[in-house]
Amino acid sequence: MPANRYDAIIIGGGHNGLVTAAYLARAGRKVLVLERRHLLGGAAVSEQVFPGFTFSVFSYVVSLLRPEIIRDLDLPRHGLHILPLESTITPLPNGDYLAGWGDPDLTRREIARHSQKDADATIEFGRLMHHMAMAVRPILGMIPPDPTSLAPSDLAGLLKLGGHFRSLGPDRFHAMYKLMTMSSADYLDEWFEFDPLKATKSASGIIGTFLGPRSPGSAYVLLHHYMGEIDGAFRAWGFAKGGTGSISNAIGNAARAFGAVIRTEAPVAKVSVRAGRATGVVLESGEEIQASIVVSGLDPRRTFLDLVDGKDLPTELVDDVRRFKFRGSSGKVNLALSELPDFTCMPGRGPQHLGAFSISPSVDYLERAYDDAKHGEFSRRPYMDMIIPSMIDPGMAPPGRHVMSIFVQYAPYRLNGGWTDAKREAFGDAVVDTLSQYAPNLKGAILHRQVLTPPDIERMTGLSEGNIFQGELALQQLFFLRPSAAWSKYRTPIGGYYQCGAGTHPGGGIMGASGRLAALQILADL
Amino acid sequence: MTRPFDTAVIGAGTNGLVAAIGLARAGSRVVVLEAGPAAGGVLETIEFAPGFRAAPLAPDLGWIPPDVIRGAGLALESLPPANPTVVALGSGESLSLRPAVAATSAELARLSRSDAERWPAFAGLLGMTAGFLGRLYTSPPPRIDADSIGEYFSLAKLGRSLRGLGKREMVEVLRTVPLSAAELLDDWFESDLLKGALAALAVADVSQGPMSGGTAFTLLHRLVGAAPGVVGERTRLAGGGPALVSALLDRARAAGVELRFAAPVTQILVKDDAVAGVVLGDGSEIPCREVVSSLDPTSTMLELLDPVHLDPEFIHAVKQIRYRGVTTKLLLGMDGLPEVPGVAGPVAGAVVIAPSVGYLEKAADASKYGRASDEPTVEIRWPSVSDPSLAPAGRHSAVVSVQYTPYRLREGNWADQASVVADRALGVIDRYLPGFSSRVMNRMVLTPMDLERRFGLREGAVAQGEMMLDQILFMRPVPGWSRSATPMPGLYWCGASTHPGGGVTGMSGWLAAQAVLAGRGRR
Repeated sequence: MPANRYDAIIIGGGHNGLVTAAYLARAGRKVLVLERRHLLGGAAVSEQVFPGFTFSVFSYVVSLLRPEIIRDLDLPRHGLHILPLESTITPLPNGDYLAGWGDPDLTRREIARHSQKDADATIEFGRLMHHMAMAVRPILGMIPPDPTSLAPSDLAGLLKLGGHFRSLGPDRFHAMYKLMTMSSADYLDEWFEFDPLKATKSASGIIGTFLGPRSPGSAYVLLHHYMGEIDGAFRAWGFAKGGTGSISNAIGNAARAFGAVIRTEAPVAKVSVRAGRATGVVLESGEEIQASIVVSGLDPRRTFLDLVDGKDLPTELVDDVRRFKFRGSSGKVNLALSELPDFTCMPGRGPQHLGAFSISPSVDYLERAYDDAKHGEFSRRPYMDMIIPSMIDPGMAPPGRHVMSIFVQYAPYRLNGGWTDAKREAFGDAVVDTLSQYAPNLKGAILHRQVLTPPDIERMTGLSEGNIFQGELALQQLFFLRPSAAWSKYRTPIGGYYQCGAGTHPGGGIMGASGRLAALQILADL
Repeated sequence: MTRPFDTAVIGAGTNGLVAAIGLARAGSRVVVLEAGPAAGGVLETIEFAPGFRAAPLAPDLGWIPPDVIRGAGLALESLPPANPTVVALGSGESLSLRPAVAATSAELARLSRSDAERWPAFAGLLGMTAGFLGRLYTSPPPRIDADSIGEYFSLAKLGRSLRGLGKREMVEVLRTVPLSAAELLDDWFESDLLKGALAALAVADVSQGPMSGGTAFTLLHRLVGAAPGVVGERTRLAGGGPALVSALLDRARAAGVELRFAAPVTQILVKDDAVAGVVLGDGSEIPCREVVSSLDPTSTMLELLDPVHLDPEFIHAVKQIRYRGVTTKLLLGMDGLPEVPGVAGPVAGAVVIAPSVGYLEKAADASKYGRASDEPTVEIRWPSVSDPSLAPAGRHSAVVSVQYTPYRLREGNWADQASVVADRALGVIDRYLPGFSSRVMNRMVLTPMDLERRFGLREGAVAQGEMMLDQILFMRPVPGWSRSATPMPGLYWCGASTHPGGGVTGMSGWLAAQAVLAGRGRR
């Protein structure tokens, strides 16, 4: 075999691409990963944006990373170290707060301070969501069967799926159906009365989607975010030591240990296709590399419309990809701080700084933030989720200084009149101004500020329209419809060309499931 | 002594009458108990000013499935659809949607070449998807927890009819249902006027805006039973709603159903954990072994029945039903018809003011915060165009639907807001149809609160519960109790709150009659 020839080339060194690479290499294949940027991770990177200050530039928390991947790839040995996030604090407009702690009893007592009824409901709600997450879990690890196919394997898959749902029993099946179709606000209304509690819970139903808490479909995203909690404690959200990039690096190290070759600053221009089969890739530099398998970790738009020629694909697939909804809805603001933000609701330095702060004072607040966005403006008073990674991992900032990661929603990709530098700064100001209402010292503590809008995220990570999930997690874009019916099994109509990004089942978050299932499919096909 | 009643049916609306006819024709002795003075329920025609009459809730009769027509033995004379069925108004322009696909394409060509070309395929997609829904609507909803051979068989039949569509078509159906109307329409069209008109149809009587998931389904729901390409109406009968009601009354009497008016039921009697009869407003009791209620589930289960008989989880589920009426109806007596741009002569169909999806969505925003829209979307129909007897000679009666006007106002109350909302709606209409309000001679405003009082519709919700994805099929009206039977032996529900829901005329009643008969076999 010539040196410049591989069994498989993975386009894109995001976490899913790296997972695919690691699994293929582990199975003895000769694998090459090609990453456009100078560092690995895609949207899961750590970068020193300002001297001495390291940020998880885009994705900043982790909970969904599949335990089987951590096990199979022995990630802790390769540098993965997850530190727990201890709490979520929601500051309230009246100066009070709502806290969720790692300890469920403590959380219940805290909720009881606001509503005894809700504190009681929390137990039953937690149990139901646990069951729901358990019910969905096997589906996350399943290559979607094609309901239109009569192939025995698809029929068997469908029967298995049918049997699975039947085994839930009617009550849980109905609860599941509600989660798939309802809005998170309506769903939570059935359980709780304290508005900030509903708002904070429903916030996980809107993250990364172009939906408001009152939009049907948002309850599913709520469940999606609950998924990570079943493998660990009540609040199993965590933060990777060294930032999110260290997760990517750990997976990359594992892949290398299995023999994979990883090249950075190697942007791919095209997938070479001959007689309906992928034969390798051409880099932007003009370099050609051959392989019998090419796997794209990019989103469906880039995988099917940019990397290959549309004429090699059926028109139905091209149509499906064109109407696949990306619609980035969130931005990111990274702050370098001279001191810790001092929250009026919990003054001074304390355990609250080890967890997350959620700016979600009411369901109406979130819904109004969405109203701005759906009419083409960024939220004047946005929903925000923020953490101070330097409190958990002091290595992220110089001594005494801090870094703050702020996830902001909504910032529509398509802004009325388009995004400009002035609008980006105005968006950053809206974020800082809103936060300053809760932590008045923040403004004066800002040493540097990085504001990322969806077009910035698109430009830097390649994610179409800046959608953090490589396509919305909407009902019509899930399971066997992700990204397109008949092409949801990681294969493509081009022989030897595969897809492994979050644009395939089961989708977004630092989960790695798409990458793993793609590898399993490829190995099964070989 | 006459034979005692087998079954009491509560409410003489379409569903109640169809249920009664179905049971009587199978040999049961049935009494229909209606609180009001006349039959018809939501089809009721109101004389809102001397000589001016209109049926505020039934300008479109919905779809009358063949099962209902056959089962009740109805002889109805159908008329061809209005032409145009819908006139969409924008600023200075209009678009007529016509029953013939080619005619609508020709109209669209003025606005967009591409929309004109895509209309036939879109009409085909809607027709196919609505056809599939139509099959779902004429049988009890599927149950995932199939526990008998029969259930497996019906699930398998459903799967086959979905597969029978063809591979690509099946995917289109599955993909389309959860979409928002805005997403579906954006996939196909570029004309704001066309998208606005179709989106308005999708969100009619729904508290959600057209950008909310599931509103593609509500659009499809309103097309079930219509010929492909026909939007805005499904059934047009000679004589309209009153003809349907008198045909039903005629069939009911012929089958031996006893009809009692001004006979409100105040209580459902229970003995030995089963229905034993009903109590009327005058204190009299009617013993029977089954009660079929066309009222909403909250009235039936929590007001007429003593909830002590029900399990708390079921009560909780009934309390979760979302009604959320958002429509105000204006009944207007007019001294003539306004000129509608682009249409020669009187309009027998609907005139819709929803010039874009964004306009509609903004109108919907207000309702989320318990306010009536400042810029509402309106639909205007003149029933007197088809039936001149509804207004004095040379005059016309108009029914105007105004959205969004939520039942629950956060500030103020409906007594004060009614005229504000009406004036605002007329102001909007005047902008698109100049001089419209100067032709109004008299008006009646029916807010969601009024619709509740007048028609017994909880929260003024016409479909007795929103037709959103989580409240249809096996979830309607309560998960696990979607097949007409309730947890109380002998008590059934048959209103629009049950599968297949609003706008499928008489089908809930017909399915309830079948369920009662099947229930007897098991008892």
